[in-house]
Amino acid sequence: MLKKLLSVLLVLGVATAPLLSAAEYQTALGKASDRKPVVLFCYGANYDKVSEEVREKFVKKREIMRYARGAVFVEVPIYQLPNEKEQREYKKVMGDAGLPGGIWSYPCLAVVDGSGTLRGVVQGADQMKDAETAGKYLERIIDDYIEQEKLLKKARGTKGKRQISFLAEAADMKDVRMPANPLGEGVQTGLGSLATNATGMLEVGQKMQTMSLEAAHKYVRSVIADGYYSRRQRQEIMAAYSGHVRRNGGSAARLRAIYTEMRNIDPTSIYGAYAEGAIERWVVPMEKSAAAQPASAAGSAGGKGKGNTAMGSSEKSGN
Amino acid sequence: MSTNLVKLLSFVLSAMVGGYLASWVYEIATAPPAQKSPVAAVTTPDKTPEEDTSEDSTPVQGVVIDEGGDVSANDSDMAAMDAEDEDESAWEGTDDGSGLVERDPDSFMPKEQPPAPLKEIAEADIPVLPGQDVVPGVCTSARNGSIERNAKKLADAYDKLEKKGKGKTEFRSEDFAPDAWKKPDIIYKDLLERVLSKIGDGNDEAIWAFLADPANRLDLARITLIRKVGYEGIRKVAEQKMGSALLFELSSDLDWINGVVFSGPTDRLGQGLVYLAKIYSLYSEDMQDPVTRRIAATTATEFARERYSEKDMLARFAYYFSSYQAGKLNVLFDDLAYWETRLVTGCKEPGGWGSPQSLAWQRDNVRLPVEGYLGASGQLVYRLRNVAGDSVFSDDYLGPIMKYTKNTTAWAHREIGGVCGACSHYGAYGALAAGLPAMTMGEPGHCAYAVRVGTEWKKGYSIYWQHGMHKTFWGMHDWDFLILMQDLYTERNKTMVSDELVALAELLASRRMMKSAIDCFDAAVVAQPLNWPAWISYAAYLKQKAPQNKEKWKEMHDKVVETMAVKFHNCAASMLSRYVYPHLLPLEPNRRERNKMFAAFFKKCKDFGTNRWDIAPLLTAHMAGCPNPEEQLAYMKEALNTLMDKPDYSGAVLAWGLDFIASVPGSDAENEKLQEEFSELVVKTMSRARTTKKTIDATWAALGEAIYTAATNGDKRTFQAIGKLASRKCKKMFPKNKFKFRAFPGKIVSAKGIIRTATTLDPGQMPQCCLHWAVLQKTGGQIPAKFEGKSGMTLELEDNSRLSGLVCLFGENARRDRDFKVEVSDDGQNWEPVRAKCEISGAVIRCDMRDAAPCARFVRLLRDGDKWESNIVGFYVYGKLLKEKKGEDKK
Repeated sequence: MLKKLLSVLLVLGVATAPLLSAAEYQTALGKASDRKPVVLFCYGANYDKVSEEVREKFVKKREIMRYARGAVFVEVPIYQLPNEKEQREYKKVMGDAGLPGGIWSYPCLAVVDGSGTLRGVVQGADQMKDAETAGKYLERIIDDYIEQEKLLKKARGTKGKRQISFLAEAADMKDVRMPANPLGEGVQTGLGSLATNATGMLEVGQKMQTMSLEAAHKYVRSVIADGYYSRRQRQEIMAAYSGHVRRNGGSAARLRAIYTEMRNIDPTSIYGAYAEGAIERWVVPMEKSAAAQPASAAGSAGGKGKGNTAMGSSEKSGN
Repeated sequence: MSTNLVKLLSFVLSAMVGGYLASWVYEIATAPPAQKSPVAAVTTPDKTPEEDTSEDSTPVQGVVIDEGGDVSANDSDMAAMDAEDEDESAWEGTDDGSGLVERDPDSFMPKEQPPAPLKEIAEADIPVLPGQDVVPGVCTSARNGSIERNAKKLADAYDKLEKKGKGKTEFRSEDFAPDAWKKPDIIYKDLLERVLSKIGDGNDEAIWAFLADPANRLDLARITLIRKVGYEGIRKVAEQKMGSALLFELSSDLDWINGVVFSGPTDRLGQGLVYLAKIYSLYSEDMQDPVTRRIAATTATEFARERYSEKDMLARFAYYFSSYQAGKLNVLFDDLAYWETRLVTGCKEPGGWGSPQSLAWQRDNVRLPVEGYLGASGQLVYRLRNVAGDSVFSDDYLGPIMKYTKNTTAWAHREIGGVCGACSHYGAYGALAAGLPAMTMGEPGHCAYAVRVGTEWKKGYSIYWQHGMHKTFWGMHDWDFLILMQDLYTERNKTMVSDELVALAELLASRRMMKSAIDCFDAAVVAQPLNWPAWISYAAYLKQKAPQNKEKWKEMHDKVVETMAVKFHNCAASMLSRYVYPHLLPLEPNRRERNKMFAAFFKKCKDFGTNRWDIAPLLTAHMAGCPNPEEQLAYMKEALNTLMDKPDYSGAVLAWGLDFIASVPGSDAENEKLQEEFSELVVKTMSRARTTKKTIDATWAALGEAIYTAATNGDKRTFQAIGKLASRKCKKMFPKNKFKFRAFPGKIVSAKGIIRTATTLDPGQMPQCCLHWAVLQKTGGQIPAKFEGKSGMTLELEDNSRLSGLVCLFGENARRDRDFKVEVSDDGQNWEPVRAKCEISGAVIRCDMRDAAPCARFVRLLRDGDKWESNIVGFYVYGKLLKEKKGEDKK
C-alpha cells in the first residue's frame, strides 16, 4: 500500500512544478538554470474577470503545473491603479525589478531566463484558452529553451563557422527568443543582422531599388549565401526582393518562385502567411490574365514563357 | 510516516478539484426599413432623424445565436473562451478594411469649425402672462448664493436617490401605458398641465420645490424627450415592433430616461430612439439589467448622432453586450455613467478599428490595466514601409496577410506594423475594446491618443501641444473641452440639476414666460458654470429676446470669466469670442470699459491652464470690437503690456502682434512708423520683464516664437530687435564660437538682416529661434539646414549691397560632392543665379562672387537633391552697402 502511495506521489512530484506563489522574483531568478527557466504567471489582479478565472484554474487548481517542466513558478499580480497595499503586494513579488519587455496582454505565462530576459510567452485568448492549450504552448517554450541553451553552450565552447552554425540553429528555434548577448556582453555572434532605414524599409531592399531584376537576384543570393541569417531574416530578405520584382514588372512565374521559396522557409510564420497571401493577391491574377491572353502574348506577359523561375530573365529591368 | 503521506496526498488532490460556471448569450439581427416622417410641430426639436434613414432601408438577414443557460462544471473550459468562435462567425465581414490603409497624417487634426448658429426657441401661440414680458435685471449676489445652495442641496438629494436605487432604478412611475405613446400629443398636453401647475409663475422657490420631487423630474424628462424628438418622431418609434413597450419602459424609469435625455448631446435623438427600439425588440428580456440598458441607450444615441448605420449599431451593441455578459470587459466598465459609456460604445470607425471583429481581437489579445493602454501603441512596429517596401499609405502594405489575420485591422497592424495613425488607434481602441473611455486625437501632421485613467485624461503617443480630439460632445476639439467635459460630468448630479433647469427654461420660453425662462437659465449656469451647452442655450435665448440688453450680456461675460475661465481658459475664451463678444462689444462704446473686461479675463490666465492653447483668436475677437485703427493699436499695446508679463503667453502675444502689424493696410511710410513703434514697444515690454533663473526658459521660448514670426513676416527691424534683446536677457543661451575661415573683402552685410530656413520647425525647435539670429553674428548660433531644389537658406541683407562672397559654416564636416549654388534678388521674389565659385572645405562652404560682384538685397544658398545636411552655425555675406547709391551701381 505504502509502495503504491509513494509511486503516486512520485508521479505527481515529477509532473508538477514547485509553486512559489509568493516567491520573490529575484529569488526565482537565482534558482533558474539552463534547464530550468522561470515561469511568471502575470494576471490582472483587481480589474479582470478573465484573469481571475484563469488563475483559479491554472494556478489554484494547479492545472498548469503539469506542463511547467519543473520550472520555477512565480505569480505576479498586476494591479490597475494600485493603492498602497496593492503596490506593496506587487513589490513583495517583483521588488524593484520591472517585468521583461514583450508581454502584451494579461493573463500570460512568461518564460524568462536567469537574467530576467523574456525567452517566450504564452499570451492572448487563443493561447490561454484553457490549461491544456496554454500548457502545451508552455511545454514547447520550455523544451525549446532547454534545447536552445544547449546549443548556445555548444556555441560558446567552439569558434568560427561551427560556432555560427550552432548560433544559427539556436536562432531558428521557433518558440523561443535568443538572449540579447548569447556569447556574453559585447561579443559579436557573427550572425547576420538586417538593418532598416528611417522608413522601416530593409536596407537590403533599399539597395536593390536601383538594380535590374537580374542584379537584384544575384545580390539577394549573395547576401543570403554570405551571411548567417535566421529563417525569419531570410524570409524578410525574400520579401524585400519580391517587392522590388513586383514593382518593376517581374513576371508571374518569377514572383511565384520567390513567394514559394519564401513561404517554404517557414510556412507557419507570419512571412510564410504573407507569401501565401501574396501569391493569391498578385500572382494568381497575373497568371489568370496571362492565360486569358492569346498564346503569343502570354510569353511577353511573363506568365509561362521564358522567365519561368526565380532566376528568369524575361522581365524588364528595375529602375 | 504513512499517515503524513496520506495527508499530503489528500491536500494535493483537493487542490486540483473545482470548476466554474459561465454562460454565453449572443444575438445579432438587423432591422426592417425605417420610414420617413414629417417634421414635428409645437417646438423646434431635432427634426432630422427621419430624414436620414435611407441607408438603412435594405433589410439584412439576421443571425441569431443563443447558447444560453449555464454551462456545467465539466464544460467549464470551453465556456468563456469558446464563445470567441461564436463572436467571430457572427461578426464576420464587419471589419471592412477601412482601418487598413493609413490616412494622410495631415488629416488627423480636425479643422476648426465656425460657431454653430444659435437655435431659436419656438414659442406657442398663446397670450403672454402679466409680468413675464420683461428681461429680469442682473442677478444679485444674494440670489446667486441662494441658487448655489439650493442646487447643491438638490444634487445631494439626487446622490442619495441614486445610491438608494443602485443596481435597480432611482425612481419608477408607470403613468402612461404603452399604447398611449402612439398619441404623444395627448401625453404632452397632460404632462404640460402637470408641470405648469406645479411651477406656477416659475419663481425660484417653485422651481426648487418642483425639482425636489422625483415624480416631477420624471415628468420633466418625459416632456423633454417629446420636445426633442417631436410628435412624429415619437409616433414613429411607437409604431415600431415593441416601440410602444420601449417608450413605456423608458419613460417610466427616471434613471434610464435621464441617461438618454440628460447625459450628453441629443442631436438626432429621434433616430436614436428608433435604434434603441430595434435593440429592445431583439433583447427585451435582457433590458431589465441596468448595464444592458446603458449599453443599449448609449450605442443607439451615439450611432444616431454619428450617422452610422443600423447594421453597424447592432453589431457594436452585440459586441459590448456579449463582452459584458461574458465578463470580458475591464471591471471599470460596470460602473461607468451614461455619458462616459457613450465615449466607449459610441467610439468611431465602426467598419475598421471600431468593428466588433477588431475590438474583439484587441479585447482578447491586449488585456491590460487601464494605465497600460497608454503604452500599448508601442506594441506596433513603427514602419512607413513594410519589409517588402510597400508604403503604409497603400493597401499593399497589409494586403497579403489579411486572410491570415481574418480581415482584422488591429491584428494585421500588429503583425506588420504601422505609423502614427495605426499606433495611436491600436492604443486607443485597445482601451475601448476593454470598455474604457479613450479616443484618438489629431496633432499637426500626427495622430496621438488619450486614455482616461481614473478621472484624469492622459496623453499617449503625443508629440505636439495642439490636440484635436476625434470624439467630442459639442464639436469643440481642443483638449480643454475634453477636461471640461470630464469635470462637468464628474459633478454628475450638479450637472443634472443644471440640465433640468435648462429644460425648464426652454419649456418656459416656449410658453412665452420670458422672465421666468431667463431666471431659469441664470440658475442653470450658476448651478453648474461648466455646463457648456447650458451657456449656449442661454446665449441663444438672450440673442432671441434681448439682443440689445447690455446688462445681461455683461452679466454673462462676467459669470463666464469668474467661473469657467478660472480653470478652462480656452473654453472660456471660445465662449466669449464666439457667443458673447459679438453681442456685447458693439454695445460698449467706452474703450476703457472694454479693456477692463479684457483685462479681467487675462487676469484669470496665470498660465495655460489644462493645456497650451492659441490665444490669438481671442485677441483678434477683442480687436474686432475696437471701432477704429487708433483704438486697435491702443488695444494691441494694452494686450502686450498685460500678457508680456505672463511667460506662457508672451511668445504667442508677440507673434500675434507681429502678424497684426504685418496685416495693417497703409502707406509705406505709415507702416514703417507703425513697425518702428511696435518694435520699440516689444523691446520695452520685454526689457521691463526681469529675467530670473526661473523665467529664463520662458523668456527664451517667448522670444524664439516672436523672432520666428518676425522672420516669417520679413520684419527685419523686429527680428534684429528681438535678437539683440535675447542676447542681453538670455546671454547664457548663446554659444561663444571663435570661427576660423578665410573671409572675403568688404564688411559683413548680413549681420543686421534676416535668415530663414526652408525646413518646417517642430515645436521643440521653436524656442531656439533666437539662435537663428545668432547665426548671422560673429560668435555663431544654430539654424536647421534644408536644401532641396529652390528651397534653401535665404537671407535678407541689411540693405542693398554689392556682394563679394558668402561663407556658410556647418556644424559638421560637409560632404565634398555637394553642388551648392547662389542666387540673388532685389525683392525676395524674383531670383537670378550668380556666377559664384563654391568650395567645400571641412565644415566651411565658401562661395566667391567677386567675379560677378552682384548687387542685391536678398541672397539664397541652394543645392539640388534632398540629402541631409547638419545645422548651420554661421552664415556671413560680404560686400559693400549701397544704401546711398541704390540703383546706380546695379549690374
